Formats: sequence, structure tokens, C-alpha cells
Amino acid sequence: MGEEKPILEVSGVTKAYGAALAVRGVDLAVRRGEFLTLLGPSGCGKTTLLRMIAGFETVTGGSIRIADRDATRLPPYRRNLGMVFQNLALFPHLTVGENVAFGLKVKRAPQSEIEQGVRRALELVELGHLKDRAVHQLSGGQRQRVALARALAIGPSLLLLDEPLGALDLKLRRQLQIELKQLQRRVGTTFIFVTHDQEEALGMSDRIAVMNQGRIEQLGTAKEIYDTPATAFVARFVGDNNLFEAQRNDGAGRAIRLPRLGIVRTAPRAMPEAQALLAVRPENIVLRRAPADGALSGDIVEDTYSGASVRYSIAVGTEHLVATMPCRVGEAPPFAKGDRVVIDWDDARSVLTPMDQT
Amino acid sequence: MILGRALWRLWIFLIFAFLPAPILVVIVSSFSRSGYLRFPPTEFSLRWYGEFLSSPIWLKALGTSTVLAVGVALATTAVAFLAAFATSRLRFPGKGSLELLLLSPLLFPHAAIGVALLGVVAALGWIGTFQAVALAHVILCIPFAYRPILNSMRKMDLALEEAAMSLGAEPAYVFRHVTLPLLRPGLVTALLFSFIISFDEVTVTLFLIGPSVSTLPTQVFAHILESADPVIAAISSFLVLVTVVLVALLDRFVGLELFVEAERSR
Repeated sequence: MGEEKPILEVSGVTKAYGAALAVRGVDLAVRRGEFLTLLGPSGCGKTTLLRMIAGFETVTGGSIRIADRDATRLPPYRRNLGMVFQNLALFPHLTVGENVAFGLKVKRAPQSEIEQGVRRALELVELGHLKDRAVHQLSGGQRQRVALARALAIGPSLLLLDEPLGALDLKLRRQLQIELKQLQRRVGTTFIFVTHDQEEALGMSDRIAVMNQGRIEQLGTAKEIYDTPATAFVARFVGDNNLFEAQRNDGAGRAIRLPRLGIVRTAPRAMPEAQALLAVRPENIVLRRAPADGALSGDIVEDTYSGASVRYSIAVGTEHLVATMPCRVGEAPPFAKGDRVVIDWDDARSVLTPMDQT
Repeated sequence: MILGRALWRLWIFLIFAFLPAPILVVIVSSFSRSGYLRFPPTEFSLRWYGEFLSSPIWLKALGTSTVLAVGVALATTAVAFLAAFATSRLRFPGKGSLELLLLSPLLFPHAAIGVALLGVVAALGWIGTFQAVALAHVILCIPFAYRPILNSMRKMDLALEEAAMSLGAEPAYVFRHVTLPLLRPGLVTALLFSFIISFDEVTVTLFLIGPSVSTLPTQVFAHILESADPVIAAISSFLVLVTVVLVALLDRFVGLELFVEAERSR
């Protein structure tokens, strides 16, 4: 048996624009049938990486294998990939059906096969009834589905999606995220999805590759990325976090001092470095009413109510902390602006990450 | 207040009435029966249209003009397409100068262009030939063909070509099935405008024609120097009709906005 070969293998891929490096030595193996997201801020190299996989950008260094075949220098039209573009790029001079048929016509498939392929692809996205519509007559969500159907109709070994939900309003976006995930499960095609929206990434992906400055900072499941960020960047970029400078306070590295807060805590793991960053999620911060002797305390300077939870901004000397607490219907939020509170957290729920590289 | 408004409307009406007024005079006079141009005519007939369409000289000039305009439209559109493709898709040194060069026939007086071309044509040994006139017309038409093609290229989303490629289409297939259809409005506009300009051009053409080659407008010009019979009005009306029909077709099928629209940066 053995391990199945990855459908996509990116090895040491680099992209240089003159002296600037957009992608710096990325290694990535994507499993067959996986929903993998490239997540990162704009300019992190995620779109460049996707476009190199698609064949629209040349590779400066490294190699790309698709379906166990070297594709590093293959032109895009020989890679058998589907792609959904940021602006969807539906052909405005063709109908919905003709858009979906495009890839099959290119392959010179017999007419009956084209018709069947178009029907199947449109049914997959539940747009069978709109086959003869012009593209400009469709709503944003419908266009989205046509772009998906067009890309899936050719039976691609991979489907690449370049922030396709970016232009939609939030509600439609959430709905399409669910549909997209369901569709992917149904067809079983490997999806590589690019986004800068971490909520989108957490909700849809089997695995997420968090990218920053041309590198993959962490590759893992949503839970791994959120619970145990591997770098300070990931801790900051994915979800909210409180980050404190931490110094080793004993030989074993179990006690850590947080100099900006002036307290000593127990490290969640033995800390080999002299210095690191301690990350504590706002929802893991526990607030109690002051006073409590010797404990860390601060003043609530801002409270932001957002329905299911309330978010407190707390000043501790010159430092700022953020804490969120759940809110229930019919109950007043537990604290208000101006309250003095004691701040605590479960050490097991804090995470040590290396200091930022400078 | 109301009076002011009415006066304003009248003023606008007069301006728009004034623009085509001379042309209306020509058209009305062309239906005259008498042997010299007068407005308004005392008697109406189609006599001068008959004269135009039965004279071998006029028919020959009409034939020359038609063949010339069709050839010029095709050649100009081809050249302008390649130029627009280069300036919109490629980066190369001297791109700005090239664009200026392509539009420069708009900047110079036609008389100056005519004199200059006469020199060039003499050097080529083409004086008084059909190809000399064709060359001149292509140069004059290029700005009018280049702009609409460039505009439609700038409007076109390059991701559409990438989408086609990702669906397995090779570059030639992409060009034929995606790029060309999307550029069609620009190309049609370029063809029709080149045709109209070539068909109506007088000033530069006058420098280049010879005894064996004469276009319809230059023949009209030569004729009017000797006599003032209404056949001129009939031919002019015919030229107006051709132009109006072509512009109307253009407006109907592709719209005129590609021609007048300001450059858009992407």
C-alpha cells in the first residue's frame, strides 16, 4: 500500500521580480482530495505561488509536480488545472452554457459529450435552468457558480481558486463558503484556495498554509493553526491574540517572566530560548473583580458589545490587553468601561512562539 | 424666467439647425432641373443623378474611390491592430514616442502632409499612381483606427485569456475564440472610419493624383473649377448618404463610444 503520492508537489519554489523575491523557497505537498488554503496578507506571495502552479508565472527556482508529472515548465494549457479567477473572468460574449462548454470544445470532445458535460457541471452547481442566459444577466452568486462549473467541467486534477469570493457582500460570502465546501466534498477534486480572510480559511479548509513575506510560516489544520501558532506572525494574523515578551526565569525554562507586565507565570512548555513571545487568546483571559492581592490588575478603557460577546480593552500600566467574554440574552455584560479588574489565564492555554525575526 | 428658458431653447435649436444646414442646401439643390447650381431650385428632377451615374468619368472615379477605401480600411486596420497590440501589451523603450508618431497625422496640416508625401512618392517613383494615394490614406487613417482598437484592448480583461488557457486552449485558439471576438467592436469601428475618411479625403489626395488616377472627391474638385452644374451637388449628396449610412450602421451595431471615449487607465 504505502502513502499515496501527493497530487501537487511544490519543491523549493522561488519567484524573483528583478532583485525582489515574491516567493522564497516554498515546499508544499498537497494530498489528493484535500481542501488546502493559502492564507496571508496582500503581498505575501500567495497569489504568485498560485499563478506559478497554474503556469501563468514562470518559476525562478525549484520545481512543481502535478499528478506525479513534472509541470515546472509546462504551459498553462497543458497542465489540466481548473482555475477560478478573482474577477471570475467569465467570457462576456458567450452564454452560460457556452462558457461551461469552452474547455470541452477545446478538447474537441464529441457534441454529445459536450452537452452531457455541460449539463452535469451546471447541475453540480444547481444552475441547469440558466444554461442559455447571457453572463451579464446573472447575479454575483450565480456568476460564481458558473465559474466553478466551467473549471470543473474539464475534470481538472486540481482546482485553483484565487480569492473568488472577495467581491461579494458578507452574507452571500458566508453562504457560498458553505456551498463551496460541500461542493468540494461531493466532487472530491483537490481545491487550492487563496484568501486573505482568516475566518474564511478557518471555516473551509482541511489544511491551511499561512504565508508571510514569500514563505510558508505554518502548515496545519485550522485547529492547529489557531491553537498552536508556530510563529509570532501566525499568532498575530490568525485571530486576535495578546502577545507578551517572555524571558526564561529558571534553569528548566518552566518559569517565565513577563517584564512588561511585571509578573512571573508558568510556561506552557519548557522554554529552551532565553526570550520568546507568549500568546494568550482574548477568550482565554479570565477577568475578576478587583481587588486581589499581588495579582495582575488593570482598568477597562473600552468595551465593545457585539451580540454574542463583549470585548474589553484593558490598560495595565502602559500595556494593553484584549479580553472577550460571552454575553447571554437578558443579562448585562459582566463589566463596564472604567471597572478595575484582575486579569488571569490558564497557563496551559497560553502558547510560546519564537520572537519575530528582524 | 420662462421667456429666458424659451430663448435658450431657441438658441440651442438654431445651433443644431445651423450645423447640417449647408448640407441640406446641397441635397436640395441636387434635385434641380436647371443647368447651374441655385438654391432653392425652381424645378425638381433626378436629371443630375442620371448624369452622375451614366458618365464613364464619374463612374470610374467612384470605382477607384471604392476600391481605394476598401483596401485602405483593411490595411489601416491591420496596421493599427498590430500597433495597438504592441502599445497595450508590451513594454519596450520608445513606446511613448511610437504612440505620438501614430497619432501625429492628426497634428499636421493636410497641405504639409501632402507636400511631404509628394516628395516621398517621387523618390519611390510612384507619382500619380494608385498605391501612392493608398499609402497616403493609410497614414491619414491610422489615428482613427488606432484609437478605437486601443480602447477596446484596454477594456478587455486579460484574465479572460488566462481563463481560456487554463481550460486547455493554446494561444492561437485563445486569439481566435476569445481575443478577436472581444476586440470586434474596436475593429469594426476602425474599418468603417478608415473607409469613410479615405472615401471623402481631398486635400492630401490632390497632391498625389495624376492623369490616370482620380478619386470621386478630387474629380468633384476638378469639375467645380470649370463648371458649376448641379451634378456636383448630386455627387456630394451621394457621398453624404454613404457616410451617414455607414455611421448609422456603426452606431447601431457597435456604438460610437469606442471612438470618442477618453483613454482609460487600468
